[in-house]
Amino acid sequence: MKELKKRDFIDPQLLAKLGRLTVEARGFMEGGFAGRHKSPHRGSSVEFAQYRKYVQGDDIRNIDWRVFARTERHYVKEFEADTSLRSYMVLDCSGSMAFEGKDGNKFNFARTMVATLANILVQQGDAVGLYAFNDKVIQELPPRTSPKHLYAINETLSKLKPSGPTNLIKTLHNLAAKIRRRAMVIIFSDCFTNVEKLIDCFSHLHFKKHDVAVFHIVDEAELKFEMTRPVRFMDMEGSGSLIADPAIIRDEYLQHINDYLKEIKTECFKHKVDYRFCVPGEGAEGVLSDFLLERIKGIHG
Amino acid sequence: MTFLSPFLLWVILPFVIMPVIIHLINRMRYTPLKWAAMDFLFSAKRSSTKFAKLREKIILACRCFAILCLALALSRPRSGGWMGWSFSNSAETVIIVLDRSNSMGALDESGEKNKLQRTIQMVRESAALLPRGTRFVLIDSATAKATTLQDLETLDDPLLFGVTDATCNMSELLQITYDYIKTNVSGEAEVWMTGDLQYSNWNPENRQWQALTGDFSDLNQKINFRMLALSHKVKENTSVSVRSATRTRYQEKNVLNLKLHLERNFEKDEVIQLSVKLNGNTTLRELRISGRVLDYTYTIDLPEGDKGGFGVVSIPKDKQPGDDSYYFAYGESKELKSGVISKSSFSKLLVAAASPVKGTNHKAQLISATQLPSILSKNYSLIIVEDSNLNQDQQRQLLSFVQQGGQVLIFPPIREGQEMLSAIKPGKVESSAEAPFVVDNWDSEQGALANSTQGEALPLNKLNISSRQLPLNAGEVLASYKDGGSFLSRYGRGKGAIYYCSSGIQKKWSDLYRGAVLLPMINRLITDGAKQYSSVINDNCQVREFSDLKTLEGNTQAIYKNLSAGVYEQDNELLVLNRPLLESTTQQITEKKLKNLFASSHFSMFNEEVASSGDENVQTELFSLFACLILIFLGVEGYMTLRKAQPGEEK
Repeated sequence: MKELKKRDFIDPQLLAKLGRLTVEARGFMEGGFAGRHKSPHRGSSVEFAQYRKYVQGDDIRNIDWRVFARTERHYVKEFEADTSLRSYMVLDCSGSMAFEGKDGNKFNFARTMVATLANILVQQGDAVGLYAFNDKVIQELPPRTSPKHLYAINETLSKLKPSGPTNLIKTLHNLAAKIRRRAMVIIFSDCFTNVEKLIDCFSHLHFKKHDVAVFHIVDEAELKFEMTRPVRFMDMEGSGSLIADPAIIRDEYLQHINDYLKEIKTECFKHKVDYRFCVPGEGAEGVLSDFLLERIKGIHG
Repeated sequence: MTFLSPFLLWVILPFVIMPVIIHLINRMRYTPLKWAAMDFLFSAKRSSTKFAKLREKIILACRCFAILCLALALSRPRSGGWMGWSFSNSAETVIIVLDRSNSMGALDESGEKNKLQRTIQMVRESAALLPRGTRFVLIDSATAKATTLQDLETLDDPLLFGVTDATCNMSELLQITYDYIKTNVSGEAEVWMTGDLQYSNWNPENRQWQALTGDFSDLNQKINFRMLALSHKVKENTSVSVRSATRTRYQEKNVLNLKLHLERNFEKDEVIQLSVKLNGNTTLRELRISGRVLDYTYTIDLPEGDKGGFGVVSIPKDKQPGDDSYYFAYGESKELKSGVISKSSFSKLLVAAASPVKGTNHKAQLISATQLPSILSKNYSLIIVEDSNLNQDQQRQLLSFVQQGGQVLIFPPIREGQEMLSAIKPGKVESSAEAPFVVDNWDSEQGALANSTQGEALPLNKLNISSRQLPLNAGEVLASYKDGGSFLSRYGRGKGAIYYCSSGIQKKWSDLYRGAVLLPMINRLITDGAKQYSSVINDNCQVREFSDLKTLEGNTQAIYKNLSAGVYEQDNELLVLNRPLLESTTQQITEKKLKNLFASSHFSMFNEEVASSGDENVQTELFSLFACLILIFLGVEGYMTLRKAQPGEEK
């Protein structure tokens, strides 16, 4: 029972609903195995497909000269070019993710989404890795395809606890430098950091040809700021506190957070980052299904 | 601004700060909350503090002001208040013209404060609202001098600035004000006039006003005149005065006749306890009074050899205590001598009329014109001239007698065209046997033809006058015929007067010889003429200072004895000081007349009587003003609060 309780972030119903969907990459991927995703190295490896008569316009480099030597006819040799997907689940484990709204905390919500996507990816034969961090890397599981690895991911997720300060910028830059081949990087965070620097990180990842997706998790209480009485706000990532009357600062707070959300969304769109805004109270199903379906249809966020 | 229900104001006033207290309590009760987006909080607090705090303060202020206005509205504020004057005041110098006259001693309904005390209180309250450095100068009716006040608290000293028994001459005080401004004030000045609007104090007919207002308008600086009027009249007031204190002999006894005059402003049957203190002995007597006026002769027997004395007549204190007592004094007994110059057969009648009753100190004798130089130095009061022509020397001697205080009564006939005593120019003798001349108008209030002490009028209208010789220059007409001709004229000369009766006492002229008019007329003239020999000086309290006064009766604590009614000894003479009788009059100057006096200046008036009479218009006006203010404050508060809530609603 204890084991089950630990993994209550896994939602079987959600898995059942989303099980038929697949995670599609938006660009070429470089997997180690054959898969369902397009590879940038078409025809250079893997499996032979067929011979086809040369027609004007075909690249003469693809003519099989051996066949021409035997038959004095021009044939073009074709190969399968699909490859597997390597994905990195980047999970923010800083103290701010422990923010408890009326519909639960942000970290649990993020874990549910990580577990669900990892399950889907493993099911479709792609490799999934986990990268948990706060101000440093807490856990790192390299991408693998085996179901056993999925178990390891879930096990790791169940043991993670959000605490301490965050350093999302440094973590993403390190990750961009570390991943050599094209991969899918999915970030789960509240992104409470400098937007400009965050976008630099995304540019870095994009420069490395990675497919970047961000699940931006913000609680409804943080958005509405509906407190009526004076509150002593205690920093979840440090020891600071602030006594303020929400009635006085509400307007400015909402102005700032709305500006921030607007800016991050705009910049992500500019830098071709698949941006997904999530509110724990609205549930994970909608966000994930939109994410998966839009990728299947080729509508990129 | 004054309030009809100040109690409500004090009850509700503490609630004005309730919004602030609730706000502070609310702020102290904060709850701890773990928060992730701290950066936004810090930046929000940094940028929002200024405007949001200002808005919060505006909202709080609006709430406080709304409650304040509610308190003010419920307290029934009155407009046009004395305090309101100070809001527009920017003058460097404020000159307070203070009426300290006897009538200002009238008490309010509660009987706690008199008009002067209320005036001083209102002046002090208003002065407290003026900016520091404002110079206050006092010109009061008692001293008629400009005094710079270092501290307005000194006005509370009743010995220095209490009610006096003198009158107030406003035109004179304003003349002093003008002189002071012209000499000492260079900038804007305010003149705060105070008083009870008593007509005699203002005397708007005085020609001095024209010159005065002209002088003020010629000044270079701006002068604002403000009148604080306490025109409230005491509802039931009775005043007493002694019209004369005459010593005489009656039935071989020395008696003192006090002619008392009681006057009320109401009509009700009542018994008044009259107290007469004479030479230290007090006697009480009850007087029944039903009308508004009672003239009463109080006779007191005097011991043989009495050489004079003094005393005070008083009635129980009412709301106007200043007119509830009156001082008197009398001198040594002297014969009241009269002389008759007459060649007619009616001369003996005139002698008898001048000494009507045996046993009195009246003495009359028939004299000839040639005896005048020797007679006039022997304490004569009245000389009657009938049917006689005097030469120039005799006339000069008689005129000298008049100027020293003597009285002369002249009856016709006089030779036509001959001027008598440089005063009377007789006309033609007129006769009308069939239709006698009728006297229908005379001064029954005072003088020789005044009503009797019992209030009965002399029967002048019943006189049968068949001949008359009218004067060409009428002088002061004391009685006149139907056709306007003068029956009795008075010509004032020096301290005395010459009287001319246009009809004679002989039968062919009239029936004056019957005595009903003649006797009282002659007796009054004798009494008036005897005043020149009296050792008693009767005077009004006034600004003029008397030297070396010793208080015999009255307020011994008074600093300014010339302003306090009483009996004083001065140079072996008795000086009796009383309030001027005009101070008992109730006639007031109207606001319109007052404005006319200051037509060329900026003048405003606050009448406490009008303000406290519950003038609906004034009250409604202010109530609606505060009601509007409440709505405005609540509207602003609502707008600010809703404006604050809008961003949240958008989310």
